[in-house]
Amino acid sequence: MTKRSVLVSSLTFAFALASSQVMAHTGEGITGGFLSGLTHPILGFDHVVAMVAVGLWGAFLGRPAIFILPIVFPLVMAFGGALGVMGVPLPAVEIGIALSGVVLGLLVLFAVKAPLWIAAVLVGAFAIFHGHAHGTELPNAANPFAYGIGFVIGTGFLHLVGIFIGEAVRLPKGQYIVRAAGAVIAAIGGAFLFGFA
Amino acid sequence: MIKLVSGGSQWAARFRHSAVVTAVFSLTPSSAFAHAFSAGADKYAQFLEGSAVAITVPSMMLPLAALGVLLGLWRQDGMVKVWPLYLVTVLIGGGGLAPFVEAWIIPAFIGLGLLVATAAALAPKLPSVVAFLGAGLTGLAGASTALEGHAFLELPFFTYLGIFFGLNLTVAFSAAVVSASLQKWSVGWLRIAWRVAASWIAAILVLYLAFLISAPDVLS
Repeated sequence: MTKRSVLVSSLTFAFALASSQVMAHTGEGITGGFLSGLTHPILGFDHVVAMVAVGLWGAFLGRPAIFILPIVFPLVMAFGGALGVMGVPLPAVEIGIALSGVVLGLLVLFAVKAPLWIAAVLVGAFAIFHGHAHGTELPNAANPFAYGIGFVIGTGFLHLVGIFIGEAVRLPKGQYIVRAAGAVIAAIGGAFLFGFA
Repeated sequence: MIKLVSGGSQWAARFRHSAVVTAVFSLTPSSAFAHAFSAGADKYAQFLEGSAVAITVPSMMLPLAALGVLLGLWRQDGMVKVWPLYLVTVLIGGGGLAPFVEAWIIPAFIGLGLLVATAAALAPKLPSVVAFLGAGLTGLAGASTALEGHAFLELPFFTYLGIFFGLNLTVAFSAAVVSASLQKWSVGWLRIAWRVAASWIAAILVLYLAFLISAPDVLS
């Protein structure tokens, strides 16, 4: 390696370490819209626990629920998001979101084996609250198409995380881990419900 | 290079030959045909412009892709089965209906795409009537949306050709990807994965529709 290349590498490394916040993504345009949509479900902890709980419960219910629930949730959530975008009021949205954490967490904790249609209706009902909150809080600057893609992928990613953790039920004593996760989710939902979080 | 050639390296000799040929060609450059369309520039640009409507405009592309996923899930040769009907309805929609439709056709087409995507996501075994109905209506509405309000033969021929190509390519490509993947990997979860993809398309279309209805200028 020549002195020149050492100098160039050192300078590059130094500049990389001293880099400041990237200001290119300001929430506008395709990239900003996508990132905004992607991070919207992920950055709200009350949303995160409920969506992971959907995956966990799906894992407990087994096939086909493990696949059906993540199909139903984004669809219905997008419907709720559409209501929010169009300004259609929905009562007790925050309570519904917090309650979803409590109910879904308890269902996982007690490993409740509900029929598929009941599970789908329950998950779908909660999904409307989550979607409405996202739709209402939508930043105006976001590119709507990119935002929609990011929003749906972000939600799907959280379901996958839940399913992945939920697959632990196949391991010896794995169901206790999953049920404990359900207890934690219910507790977090309770904290949001009673204003502790 | 000279040193290597003098050393008798076969590789160097080939390299020298290539370099000479390259130099000769670079000294006698002709038109770059990838970008210069002096003879048929307008026609090709018209074709590209027409194709781009169905391939790059989200409100066109997503409903068409939804139909492709539906057909791929329906049966292995789903696209081939419905293609004649689809072609006919595209021609009817583009030639017969397009002059009479107005801006309402865009949310209507997105709504149709939403229904098609939802059917693909929720119905494990699709009845044939759903596939044929979806293809027929998508062909009609897709061509009408692409040519919304334009009088019959108002646009250049190659623009029509491009639109026709794009409307077919988007659906056929989506259907081919789905059916080819299902044929190659016969695993149960893959079919579910495509249904999840269909549900995601539906979810995006729901939001898109909401944006379109609440703030049409945002999407223009």
